[in-house]
Amino acid sequence: MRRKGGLVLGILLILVAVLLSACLPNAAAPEQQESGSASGAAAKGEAVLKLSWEEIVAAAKGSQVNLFMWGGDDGINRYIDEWVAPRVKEQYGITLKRYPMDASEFINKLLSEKQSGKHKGSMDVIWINGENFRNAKENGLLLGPIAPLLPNVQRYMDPERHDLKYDFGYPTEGYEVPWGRVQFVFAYDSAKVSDPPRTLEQLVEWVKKHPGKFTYPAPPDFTGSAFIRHVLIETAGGVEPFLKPFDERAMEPYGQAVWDVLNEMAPYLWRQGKSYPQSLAQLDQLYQNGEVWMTMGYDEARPSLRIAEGQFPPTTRTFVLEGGTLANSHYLAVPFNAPNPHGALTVINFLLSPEAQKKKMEQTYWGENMSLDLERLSPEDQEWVRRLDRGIATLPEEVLAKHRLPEIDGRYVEWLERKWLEKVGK
Amino acid sequence: MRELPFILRSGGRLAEWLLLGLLALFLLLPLIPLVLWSLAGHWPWPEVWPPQWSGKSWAYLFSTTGRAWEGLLNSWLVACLTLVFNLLLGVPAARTLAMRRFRGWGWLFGLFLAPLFVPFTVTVMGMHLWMSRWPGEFLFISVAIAHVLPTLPYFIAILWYQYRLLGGRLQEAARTLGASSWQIFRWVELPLLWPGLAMGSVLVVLISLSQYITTWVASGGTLLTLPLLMFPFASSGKASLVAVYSLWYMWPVLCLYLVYLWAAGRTSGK
Amino acid sequence: MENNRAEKRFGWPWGVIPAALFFLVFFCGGLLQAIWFSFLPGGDGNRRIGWAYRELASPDFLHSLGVTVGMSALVALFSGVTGLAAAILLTRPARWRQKWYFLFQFPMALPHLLAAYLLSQMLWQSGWLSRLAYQLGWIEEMDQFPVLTQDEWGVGVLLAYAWKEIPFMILLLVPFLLRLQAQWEETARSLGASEGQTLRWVILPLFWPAWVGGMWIIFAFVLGAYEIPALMAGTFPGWVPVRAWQEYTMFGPERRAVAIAMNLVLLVVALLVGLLLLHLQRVWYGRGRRI
Repeated sequence: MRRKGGLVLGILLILVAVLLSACLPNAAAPEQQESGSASGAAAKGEAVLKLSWEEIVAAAKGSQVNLFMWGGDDGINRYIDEWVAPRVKEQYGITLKRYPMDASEFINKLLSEKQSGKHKGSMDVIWINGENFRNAKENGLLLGPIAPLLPNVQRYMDPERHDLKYDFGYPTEGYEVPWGRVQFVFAYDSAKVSDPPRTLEQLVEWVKKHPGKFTYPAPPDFTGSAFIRHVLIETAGGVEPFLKPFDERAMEPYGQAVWDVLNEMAPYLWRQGKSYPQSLAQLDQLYQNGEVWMTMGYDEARPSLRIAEGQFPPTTRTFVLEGGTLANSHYLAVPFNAPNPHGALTVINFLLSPEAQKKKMEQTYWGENMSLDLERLSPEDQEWVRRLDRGIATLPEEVLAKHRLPEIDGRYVEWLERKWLEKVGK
Repeated sequence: MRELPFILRSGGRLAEWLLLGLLALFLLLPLIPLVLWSLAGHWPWPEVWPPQWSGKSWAYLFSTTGRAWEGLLNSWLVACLTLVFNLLLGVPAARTLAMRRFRGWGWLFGLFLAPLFVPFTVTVMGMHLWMSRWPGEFLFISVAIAHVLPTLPYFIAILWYQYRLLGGRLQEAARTLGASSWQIFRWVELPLLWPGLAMGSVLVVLISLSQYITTWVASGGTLLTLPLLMFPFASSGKASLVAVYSLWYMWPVLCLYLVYLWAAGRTSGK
Repeated sequence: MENNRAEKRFGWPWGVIPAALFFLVFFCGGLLQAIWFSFLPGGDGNRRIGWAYRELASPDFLHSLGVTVGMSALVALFSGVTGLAAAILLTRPARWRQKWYFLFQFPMALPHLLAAYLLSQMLWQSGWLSRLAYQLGWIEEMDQFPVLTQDEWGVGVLLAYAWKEIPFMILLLVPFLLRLQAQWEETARSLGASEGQTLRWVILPLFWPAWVGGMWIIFAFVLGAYEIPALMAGTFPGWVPVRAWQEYTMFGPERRAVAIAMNLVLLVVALLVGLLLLHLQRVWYGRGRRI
């Protein structure tokens, strides 16, 4: 009896093992699987791209659209849930559902889905930019081109616009459309810092005079990565050398200059540079608690918003470097296997309407700069933008515009991030 | 019953109290700033008490964006489903493991306990690659299935131990009296297993409620349980929001625990 | 043993089939898939099989591995010893203590990430304990509060893990100890053993395997866990699970194989330690379970 029981069990297990091994070779041949069901997705996607706008909107009526975006800000979440969703429902009959997820997470998800040939995913619209976009585009994870289809893009965005055509130096080819624009600023507590530094040298001096009161998030965090890009541009005296295609050997001397400066600063940083905050959120927490006296980040209006929320001290103000700070856009895109591409395009178009963009710019929810061209708006809207109060800590648009730098190619970004871990992060 | 003094001198009693007290303090103290943060506005160092109170985070929690009830119901629904799966799979398995010895017993037992020591990230990555093949239509079920992996080992281990304690004599006696297998299970085993079953069930529910990555992988981020709602805030440093979500997460768990204690108290009169 | 007679009566091992099938399909399937994936040649074709593992043979990774294994062992030992002491103290015959022991279970209700967050809020230089210290006049500046998080010694990480694992240990040991005391106390006493002798020669040997097993589970868990070190540990040398997760999510799809390879190394370490403990247990049984 004992033996028999074991025998049966053993046979069953072998059967299952055979089953499993039959499944495994599928992973080895993603190509075959892809051509099968991914072409199904491709066909569906292509079909949408050929429709007229009226047909797209009509097909989207009564459907549900799943928007996947970073969920770490309650203001942005409320903008989508409280303002956008009811209007989209009213005007187009679409039920908009927001799901919190980081860009890197959903890129991973799409990759897995592509590899296993899943032609009907769960994401309709994704919020994306930079390296994530490049990864997505190169791996065929996006549906497009969508820019030519969207009326608001045609109407309110100059087709030759740099950020419409390039994202971190990489051609978008219309697969993503700009949702908002931000510029990098440094924030400081004016009650503790009377004269904020304006150049990298001044910053280094300031850090030495106030040990432990400054730090930056460790790359590959998005903000930390941007900070070391600023160091790169400042040490090189400008952004020109980096507008060329990436050349690793040519970068060596520039890179070395960056590591030298960062290592020079390190002993005077928070925790003597032996540890860095892992994210902007952690840096903000340190700033809020008064452990450090400066923070930084994309979105020139964020500090004002934080003051209004009662999180940053009311004496917070911002500054940009004399040499300029990086400005970039973030985008919306549609995955290759979106279950509702019609709805996706309709919602994206709505988000790019002047109505939605103006509300986004208000301090109520988000406060971020619009992605539409000012000159193409109606005269009333232009006046509205000019009069808008963007918050006590936000710098005026003229100042920001005069100190604005374009983003450089994503390959520089990755190279800097990796090298930082080697040369400075230790 | 005589007491069993651990340290033979009478001053030892004080030391025991002190040690336990310190431990309790260590475990319970973090609750205080949690509750304070949930009601705090701007709260800079070195204030121990928030100078500004604000109900904004609670308002956010209960707004449509905050999804308080949706998150709670999703979390608990998945936890109950996970429990059902655990009961269906785990009880027979534990019983058989405890009552029979057969070839490959050790391997099987090792298999069941394996998720405990395989780094969970590996299991998750594997599950990720594995599960993205499926249509994913039955969302709650896929998530519950994913939750079974971190919970079943504990459940089987606890129940197996209970069965071992039970021994086989009572069942044998019942059998000689003519009872069927089901009757034996229902009337002999179940009442005696009850404490272990209850504890195992509570543990399964707790583990399932706290799952983040598993839910995320299995539902593709579409099933919004409380951890999925709260963790973006944890990593973006919104202390007040994390605090309200944590408290909202904890109250039903505390209720469950109180129910469990009450039930355990009633049956411990043996 | 009494169970022998019962064994033969209860039929075939049908009961394990559903659970076994489930595990084989979902757990082993996923695991095998991951292992297979980690050995794949690189995406651009110019990397050979197993390249991910070769890349791990760097002093950087080995340093991280050392830190991870060392800290995991430390957490396991610390939680084990404290948990044991607490369990013994809680299982005294005084009834009130047994009633209140549920208080010590409170941290089990919370996920690990929350535990990390809560402990961070307490232990940061700008945290709650620091503020208390200021109010009590012990420090005047934030800097004077000791550095407990993101530090070289991993104190914050240790405390955060301990906060979660000590209750687990208590949960594991208390029922066991209660039962042992109930069973053996009378017998040993009637044979004339003193309290200390009962503890040392009867009770401890009986639950020693359970205690060591519990510590091994904690060790294996901490080895592979990501949330607490991600939030509380210093940047360098990073913990392996944190680095693995970074590779998996931030550096592009080609790096996934490296991420899985890192975790598999951890698995092997956990297994080796487990096998070692099993072997030692056998030796110990052979020597008659003496402590």
